Amino acid sequence: MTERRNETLSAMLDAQEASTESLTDLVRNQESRDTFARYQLVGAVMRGEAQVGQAVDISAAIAAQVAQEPAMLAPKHGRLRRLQMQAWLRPVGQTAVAASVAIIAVLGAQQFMTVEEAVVPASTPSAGHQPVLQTMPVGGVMNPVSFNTMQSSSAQDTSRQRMQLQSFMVDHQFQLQWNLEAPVVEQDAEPENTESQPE
Amino acid sequence: MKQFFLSSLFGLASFTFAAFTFEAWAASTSTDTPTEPQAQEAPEVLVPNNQVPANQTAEGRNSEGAFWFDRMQTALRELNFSASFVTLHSGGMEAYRWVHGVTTSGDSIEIIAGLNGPENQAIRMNNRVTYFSPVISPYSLHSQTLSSPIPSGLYERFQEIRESYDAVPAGGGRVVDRAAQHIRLVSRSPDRYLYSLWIDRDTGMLLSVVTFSTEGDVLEQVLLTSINVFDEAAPELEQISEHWTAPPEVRPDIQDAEIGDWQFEWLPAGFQRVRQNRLQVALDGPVADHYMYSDGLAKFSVYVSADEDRASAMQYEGITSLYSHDHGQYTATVVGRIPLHIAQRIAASVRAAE
Repeated sequence: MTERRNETLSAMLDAQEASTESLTDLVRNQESRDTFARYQLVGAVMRGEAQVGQAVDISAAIAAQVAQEPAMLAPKHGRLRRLQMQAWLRPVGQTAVAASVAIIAVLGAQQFMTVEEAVVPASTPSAGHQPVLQTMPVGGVMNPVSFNTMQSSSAQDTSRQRMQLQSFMVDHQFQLQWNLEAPVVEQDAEPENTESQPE
Repeated sequence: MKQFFLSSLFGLASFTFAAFTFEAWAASTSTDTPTEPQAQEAPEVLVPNNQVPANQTAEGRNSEGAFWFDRMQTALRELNFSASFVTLHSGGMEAYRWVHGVTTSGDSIEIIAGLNGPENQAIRMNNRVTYFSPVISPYSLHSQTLSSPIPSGLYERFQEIRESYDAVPAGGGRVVDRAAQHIRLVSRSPDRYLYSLWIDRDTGMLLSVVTFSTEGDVLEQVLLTSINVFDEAAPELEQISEHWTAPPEVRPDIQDAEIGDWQFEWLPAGFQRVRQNRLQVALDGPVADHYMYSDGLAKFSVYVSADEDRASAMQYEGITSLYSHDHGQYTATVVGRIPLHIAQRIAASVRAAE
């Protein structure tokens, strides 16, 4: 069964034909959805398209990973390590901006579920090597991006603040996705009851 | 360095384009166009400055502006189209495909997919939106609009934003090789972003959205690069309509607890609270009381975290602003597409009830 599904996946990814039944099956099956995500990444790697830190998702993956493993201090060695470092050294401001602007890219759901295998290349950056957050004037002629902490702070505080910044940015993005209804114009300033939940 | 070169190139492109459009914005009377002076039957109108309260003249303009806005809203909800667009902002440039159709069975299906990098896409099937991304399992949310570079307020009728914005017709021009109507959404108070919309005169389709800072600087542009309109929904949408099974539905991590009693001593005029919950902030963030405010177009979140969960004081300035104000026992964090100084003022005004 699984073999067969994977074949279908493979065929789809190679843009070969897949029957409607197998597509429906794929969509319904949680496991194959996860596999699909991994295969997509594998495909990207094989086509030489996957660069670590290339896109907002990867950075988000890092953020999620850091959130889960804040205490990884011992650096490992080797090429993978260096790649990870490079990804991590990119200005995080860019990630946050991208996260807030880029659609879908959003990330808000890590707290519900995580496809760990899909993010392997970018995992476990070392907390000991986190740089101070950089300002990011990239292209932003009109509105230079800056991040300021209001107190003088240790490196540890800075990394904590950066994680918080990511958390709030991502959460707000997720809240925007959960767009239940247009605001009620006549609403009282202080409504007592909370929003109705989605069914 | 290659990457640096690329980003400066994008920066330059976005800057020149931005400056270009801004001229159109800044012109005080306008039958202007963002590309060529190709005057349509556009009426001569004065650009209001955003402190001017609505008067008779403004209402006259507003009704024409509202007409175009609603025409666009109808198009976004009802038109069968296949389009692509680019977004330009300080972080760079992105390209998307955008497809919408109403199928024979009456399902409204909308797809927006990023065209560069890892394959991100979102599908809205009526009131359920599913997000796909290589890094996490697909998930769905109950929502009337898909979250994308197209502001969600544009999917609602003009009356939803009329308390806070005037829709000012500002002439016409040629956009994506179509005759377009230019509408400015001008905030009635000087504390929020402004928007320029270009609407296809023929179909009502949205062709471009430009977001401006309160100073009139371009913050972000969305520009369609191609648009095709059809009589019927695309065949693949019909297939989706038949076979679609949405992945599991999720919602923010709302805690089963009473929300704290926080008071806002100051809020920008026209914003309404649309939601409040106690929740755990994403990515293992703190537990906080969350309030969502909207004026129909701009939206911001306020998170109040207290005691050991208290967030640090920090600020972030971009098209999305973030400001955390440390009040001692608690911290108020404001995030949203509003000017930073407004976020600061809101965060500073949060008080614990007596």
